[in-house]
Order: sequence, then structure tokens, then C-alpha cells
Amino acid sequence: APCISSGLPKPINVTFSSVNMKNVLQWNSPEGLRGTDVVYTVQYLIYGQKRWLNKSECRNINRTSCDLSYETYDHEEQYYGRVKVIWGKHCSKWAETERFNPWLETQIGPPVVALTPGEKSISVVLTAPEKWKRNAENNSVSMHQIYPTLKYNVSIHNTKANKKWYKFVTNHTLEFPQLESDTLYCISVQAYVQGPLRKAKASDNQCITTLKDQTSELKVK
Amino acid sequence: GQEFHFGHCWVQRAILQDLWRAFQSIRSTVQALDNNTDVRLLRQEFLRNASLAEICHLNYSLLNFYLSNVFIKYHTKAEELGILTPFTTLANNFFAILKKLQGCKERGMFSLSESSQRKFQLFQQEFTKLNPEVRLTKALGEVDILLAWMEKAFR
Repeated sequence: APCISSGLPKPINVTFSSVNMKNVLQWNSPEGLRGTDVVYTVQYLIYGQKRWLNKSECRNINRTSCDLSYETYDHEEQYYGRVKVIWGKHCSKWAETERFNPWLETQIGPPVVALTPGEKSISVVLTAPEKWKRNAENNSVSMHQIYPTLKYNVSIHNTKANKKWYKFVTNHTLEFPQLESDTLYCISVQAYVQGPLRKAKASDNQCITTLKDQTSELKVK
Repeated sequence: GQEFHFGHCWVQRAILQDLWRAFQSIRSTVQALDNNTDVRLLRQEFLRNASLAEICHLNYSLLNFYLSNVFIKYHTKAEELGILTPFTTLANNFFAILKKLQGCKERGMFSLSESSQRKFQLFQQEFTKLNPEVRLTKALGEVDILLAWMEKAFR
């Protein structure tokens, strides 16, 4: 039976959190109802369409997030999400997100980084992050296909000399020449796209030691 | 500096950067005023299977329309909302792009296309159906769609 829309406080801070187009609706429980056994129900709307649609897996839930990636998969559409509190027979009014534009707002995750050490160099191969997939069997869609101007900001840190420098690259392979042999270097990479300001997550530091200098080895023998 | 191309015509990329920055600072304010969430003016199907020439021509028609029908009439409202500075940046940069494209068009550097003309008319029909203030707010709130379409024209 439909709930009675009473004076229950609405959920607050209703927003989409999005990384590589994995779009999760999240909210906070209203001040006055923290700790009580309230549940929530979620709906979403495709901007330009008439009807709000239910997300059955997010009906009467007690967590404060709902994964709407499947429903918001078309990143050229724009969306709204809304959620309300239900407590017994009573419910709050809906609390809505701002208009959500996945193409504009998704955070671009870090690329996959593969390092190969040389004596005085390190080769780096980058693989662009992938768009969230509806199911595992589907073909992957690279974020590079969605953002053709995707670039990388590669930072390298010489841990011995405590020196750090950066390289901005467009293609996915690069080499750092003129390094010190037998030295530990740490590399981190962040993808970014020209145009609107987008958040981007840097990859975790990956550290590797350059090979020993063979010539000095031979002299020692 | 880098540039972006409309057909064989190019425009300085930095303009697009300024446009995005300006729009991002007015987006929340303007979109929050648009309660007609069941109407989208710049519809996705306009670009589906559209050739680059079509995208260019549609962008050109829309830029022209925005300048003569949206920006001109929304100045006072923008002042009321406290968004006049970014709003003016948007208008000036749209005007700079349009001036550039008009020159290219006169030199025949991108062609008119019937199908994009039809899509533009669809946009106009939808626009005129809405009441005056609602349509201006909605059109302004959809500038991110227009900028994304301009990015697509970027090669």
C-alpha cells in the first residue's frame, strides 16, 4: 500500500558518485532519523522523458546508496535520481539530485601501468581505463573511445636522489631515458581530458629498480 | 595553440576551455531553475548517424540561434541570478566562434545540409512550444550538450 506522505524529513546530500561511468546514487539519512530503522526507495529519470522509473533492487533498502550504472549506461543521456525515506506507513517527500551528465561528470580512473626496467631507462606501457560494463561478457569500451583527447600525466620519482619530474603524453607507450642504474624509481600516472574540468584518479605508485650497470660489473671481475 | 575544426574551418581550442569553465560555474544555478525535466531541446538523436559536415552545420545554426534568441534575452535574468560574468564569457565566446564560422561559411568551407536543417527546425519547434522564460532557462541549461557536440566536431 502506498505510504502516507507526512512530515518525515527528506534524505540529504543526494548525489551521483561516478568513476569510469559506474554511476552510484548516494545520500545521507536525514538528521532527525539517524539510528532509526528507516528504509529508502529510489527512482531515476532520463532527462527529457516523462516518467520516473523504479529501481526494484533499491526499493525499501536500508543502505544509503544504490548502483544505477545499468540504468544510466548511455553516457550521452542525462539523468536525475531521487530517494525518499519510508518509516512504517509514513514516508518523506522525494529528495532529488541535480541533473547528472555522466559524460561531463564521471571521474576518470587510473590507467593500467606496465613497467620494464633497463640499465639506464624505464619503459612504460599504459592501458586506458575501461568504461563500466553491464555484464562481464560484453565487449570492453575504453574510456579512450569516449574521450578521444585522453592524455596522461606520468610522474617519476628517483627515490635515491629524491627527485621527481613529469611527462605529459598522448600515446600509451613512453620511455624514461638517462636514468641512474641500480636505482629504485616510483611511477604514478593520471589520465586527463581537455575541455571541462574533470576529476581524475592517479594510479598507485609503482616502484621498480633499474638494472645494474653491466660495464662496471665486468671491470670488478 | 591547438584548434578545433568545423568541417574545414578551425577555431582556437582555448575558446572551448573558457566556454566549459564559464558554463560549469552557472550550471547548477540554471539547471536547478528548469523544472520541465520531461523536455530536452538538444536531443541525442540529432547527432545519431550524422556526418561531420552535418554536426558542423547544426552547431553553426545552434550557435547563431543561441546568440540571437537566448543570450540577448537572458541578460537581465543572469544579472538577477548573480551569474552575469560567466554568462557574458559564454556569450562573447559564442560570438567569437560564430564570427569565425560565418567567414568560413561565406568562403564555402562547410556546406548547408538538408537533414541538419530539418533537425534544427525540430529544435526550434520544441523551443517555441515552451513559455518564454522557461525556454530560455532550459536552452541555457543545455549548453553542456552543445559544447559536447562542438567537442565532437573537434578532430
